[in-house]
Amino acid sequence: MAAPDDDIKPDAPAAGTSAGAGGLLARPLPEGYRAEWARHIAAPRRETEAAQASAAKVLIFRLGREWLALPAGLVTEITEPRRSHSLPHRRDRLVRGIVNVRGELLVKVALGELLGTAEASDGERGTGFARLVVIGDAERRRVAFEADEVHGLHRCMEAELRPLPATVERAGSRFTDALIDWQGHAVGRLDGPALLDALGRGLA
Amino acid sequence: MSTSGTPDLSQFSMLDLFRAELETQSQALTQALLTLEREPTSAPHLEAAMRAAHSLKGSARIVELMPAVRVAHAMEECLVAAQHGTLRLSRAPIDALLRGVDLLALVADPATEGAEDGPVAAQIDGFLAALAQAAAPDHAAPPPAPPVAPEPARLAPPSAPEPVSESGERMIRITATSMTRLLGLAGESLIEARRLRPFADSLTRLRREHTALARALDSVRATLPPGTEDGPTAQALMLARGALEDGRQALEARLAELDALDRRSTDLANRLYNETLASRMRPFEDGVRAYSRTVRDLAHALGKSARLEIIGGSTGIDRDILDQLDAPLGHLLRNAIDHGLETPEQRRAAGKPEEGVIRLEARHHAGLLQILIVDDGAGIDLAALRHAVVTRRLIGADAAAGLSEGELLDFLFLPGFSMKEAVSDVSGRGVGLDAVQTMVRQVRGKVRVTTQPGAGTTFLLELPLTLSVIRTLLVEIAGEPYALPLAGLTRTLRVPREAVQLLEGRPHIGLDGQRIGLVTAHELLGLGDAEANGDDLAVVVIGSGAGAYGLVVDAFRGERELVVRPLDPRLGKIKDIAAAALMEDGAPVLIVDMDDLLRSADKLAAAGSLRGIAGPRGSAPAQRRKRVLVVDDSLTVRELERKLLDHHGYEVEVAVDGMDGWNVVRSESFDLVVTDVDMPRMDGIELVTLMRRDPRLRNLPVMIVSYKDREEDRRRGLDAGADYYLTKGSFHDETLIQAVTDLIGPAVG
Repeated sequence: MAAPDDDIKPDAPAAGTSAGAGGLLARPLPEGYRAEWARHIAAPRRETEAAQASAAKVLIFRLGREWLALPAGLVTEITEPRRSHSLPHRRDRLVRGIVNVRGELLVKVALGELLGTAEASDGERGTGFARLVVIGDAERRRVAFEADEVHGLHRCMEAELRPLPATVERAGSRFTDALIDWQGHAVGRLDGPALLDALGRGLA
Repeated sequence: MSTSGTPDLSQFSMLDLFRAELETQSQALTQALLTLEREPTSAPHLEAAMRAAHSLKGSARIVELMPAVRVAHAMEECLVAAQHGTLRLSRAPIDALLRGVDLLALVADPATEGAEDGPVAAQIDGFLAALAQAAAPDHAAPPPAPPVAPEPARLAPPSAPEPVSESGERMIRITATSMTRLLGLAGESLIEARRLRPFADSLTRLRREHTALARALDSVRATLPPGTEDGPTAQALMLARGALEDGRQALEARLAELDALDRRSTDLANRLYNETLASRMRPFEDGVRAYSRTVRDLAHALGKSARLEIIGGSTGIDRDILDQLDAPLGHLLRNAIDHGLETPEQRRAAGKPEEGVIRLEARHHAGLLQILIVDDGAGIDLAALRHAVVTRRLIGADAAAGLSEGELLDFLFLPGFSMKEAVSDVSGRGVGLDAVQTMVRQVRGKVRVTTQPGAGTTFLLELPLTLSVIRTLLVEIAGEPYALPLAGLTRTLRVPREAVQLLEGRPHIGLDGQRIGLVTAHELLGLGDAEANGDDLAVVVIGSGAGAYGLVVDAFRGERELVVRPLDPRLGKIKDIAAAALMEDGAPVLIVDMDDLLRSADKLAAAGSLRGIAGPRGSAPAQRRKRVLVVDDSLTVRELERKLLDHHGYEVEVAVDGMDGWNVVRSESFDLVVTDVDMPRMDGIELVTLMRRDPRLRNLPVMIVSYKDREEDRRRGLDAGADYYLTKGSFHDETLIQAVTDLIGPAVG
C-alpha cells in the first residue's frame, strides 16, 4: 500500500524508458486522491488492531494421531531428534531421559503420556519427519519432547476457534482449551503454562 | 549537600562505581593493614595502604560523598605519618584504621540515609577522635624508632608490593543461567569444530581416487597401438589427463585451506571453551581473603590471639558454591576462635605458642571439593560430650556408652544442642552448627568433625564440584554410556566366566586372596537383566576391604575427562546418579554416584535379593509379610530397629538417610515407614512432607522416631503428616512394636 508521494519527480525518466511509461508515471493525480489517502493513513487502525489481538501465533505439530497447537512464545527451539540417555530408577513413562540441545542438557518427556494421545498406527504415520521441540518460558525451565511431525507456525484468528467437544470438556484434567480449524484437521490448542506446570510436577 | 537522596540517575551510577572501587581498595587496604600489624615499618605495605586510602579519598570527592572524604583523609594522614616515621602503627592505630575501612563501607551503603548528620556522622566523629588519639605522640612514644625505620624497609622491597592490580581488575556480574548457556554453546562449538577433521579426511580419500584415476588414464595411453601416439584418441586422453590434473591441484589447494581452517577453529573453540569454563571458577582465596580480618578482630575481642592461614588459595571453586559457603565458613571460623582456641595463658601452659593458628584449606579430592577448618586448640572433650548427651536425656546412658566417636560428635549438629549447662571448660560448641549443616546440605555437601584432645578440632566440608572436570571410566551398561568417577574405583579387570564361583547361589571371584561378590550394574541401576554373552566379564571393583563389590558392566569404553553438568533440579536426586556430562560427540552420559552405588550394593546384599549373574534365586515366601522401611542415618539405631522388627516377623528394608528413603519408598511398596528426623541430605520431616504430597504415598503410614522430645518437635512431625511420634528417649522394645502393630497390625495376615 504505497502512499502518494509528491517527492517522486517523473520529469527525468531514466535512459531507455519508453516515453509511454514515462507518461504513465508522470500523469497528474486524480482529484481527491491525496486527501483520500491522507484520511486513510490518519485513521486509527481499530479493526486491524483488534484482528491482531485475537490472532495468536501457534506451533502446529502432530503427536501420534492428534494434531496439537502450542503458543509460539513457549517454543524455544525445533531441531532434529537426537540420541537421548535414559535415567535409571525412573519407572514412569513420562520422563524419557536427558538430551543435549546446543550444549544444554534438557529433560526429554513423552508429551503423549501426559496428554493421553493415541499412538499412530502404521498406516497413519504420514510422511512428516520427527522433530525435537524445546519448550519453556522465563519462569519455567525448559523441557524437550519429540513430535512425530511439525507443521510450523500458524497465525490463528478468533474466528477459527471452535469449542471443545463435551467428552473433552467434561474430562477432569485436560490441557486443550479450544480447537482450531486447520487444513481440515481439528487441532487442539494447548494451554501452555498449565502444560509446563504439569510437566514440572511430573518430573519431580 | 547530601548525595544519598538525589534521584539523579547519573549520580547513581557514579555512586555505584565508587562502591565497586571501595570493594577492591578496601580489600587491598585491609590486607596491607593486617600485614603492617606484624611488621609495622614495612615500606611496601605502608605505601600500598596509603595509596588505597588516597585513591578512596579522591573518588569519594568525585562523587561528592563528603563523609567518606573526611574518613579517608584522616586515614591517609595517619598512614603518611607512619611512612615518615613519626607514628608507629601499633595495635591501637591499626584497630582505628580498620574501623575506618568499615565506616567507609557504611557511608557508601545506599541504606545509610543522610550521612551528613545522624548516627553515621556521630560515628565518623567518634572515629576521627579515636584515630587522633591512637595516633597521638604519647601513644607512639614507647618505641621511638624514626631513624631506624628505613632500615627494615630496605630489607623488605623484594617481598613485592601488594597485588592491587590483580584484584583491581573490574568484575562484572552475570546470571548463572546465561553463564551455563554460554558454557553449553562453547562446548557445542567445540564439537562442531571437531567435525572438520573427518570432513578433511574424506577429501583426502577423494584425492587418492584422483591419483588412481590419473594412473588409469596413463595405462590406457600406454596401450594405444603403435603409431597412434599423436592421433585424436591420444589427444583426447591428453586433454582428459590435463583436466584431471587441474582438478587435482584445485582440490589440493582447498584441502590445505581446510586443514588450516580446521586447526584454527579447533584451537579457537578449545580456547573459548576453556576460558568459559575457567570463568565459572573463582580461586578459593577470592572468597575467603576477608576472613583474615574477621579472625584477627574476633580473637582480639575475645582476649585471644589468632592468625588465619589459607592453604590452597588458588583452588578453583564454582562461583555459586563459593557464594553459598560464605555464611557456614564464617560460622565455623567464629566457632573455632570462640570455642576451639584456648586463652593465651592456657596455651602457654600447654606449651603451645600464644598465637593460635586456624587453617582454612581447600583442595580437590576424590571428585569432591574438600574444605578444612582446622584449629590447633584444645579439641572436644568426648567424655564431657557423652555426659552432656546423657544429662540432656537425648539418649540412655547404656546407648551413649555404645556410641562411636563419629556418632557422638554428630550430636553437635542437633538443633539447639549445647554443652554449656553440662560442662564449663568446653563451652557450647554446638550452637549454630545445625545451621551450618543445613547450609552445607543445601549444596548437597556433607560436614564432618574430628577432634584430637589437646591438638585441635577439624571440620571437614565435602562439597560437590558442580562444574568441574572429573576423570572417569566410561563403561557401557544396557547399551548406554555411564561414567564412573575414577576416584571411586579400586581397579578394573576382565574375568573369564569359568573363574566365577557360586556360594549360596551368589557369584563371587577371587582377587588378591580375597573373595569379592559380583553384582551386575544392570541390577543396581534397575535396568533389567544383563545379557550373558562373551567369554569375559568386565568387572569394576568398588569399595574396599570387606565392603568391596565387583560391579559387572557390559563393556569398558576407556578413560575420559568430563565436565560435570548438573541435572535438571526438578528431577530431584536420582538414585545412584551424581550428575551428567557430554561426550565428545555431543551425546549425553550419566555420571554415577559411587557412594550411592555402594550403598545400593550393600542394601541389595543385606536384603539377599542380589541375583548377580547367576539368575534369580527363586524361593519366594509362601505368605506375604508386612514390609517396613526403616530410615535412620545411625547404624546402631537402624540395626536395632531392623532386628526388633525382623524378630517380630516384619520384612524390613533400610535406608541410610531421607534422600535414600525417598528413593526407596518410591520404587518399592511398603506398609509402614519408620524414620528418624535428623539425617544428612534430607531430614525426616522433609521426607514425610514429600510423601504426603505424592498421590501414591499419601496414605502410607509413617512413624517418626527421634531424639527430640520437645512438644514443638512432636507438633512439627505430626503437622508434616506423620501418624505417630516416638521419642528415642523412651525407646523400649514394646513401645515401638506396640506402635507398629497399632498402625499396621501384626506382621502376617
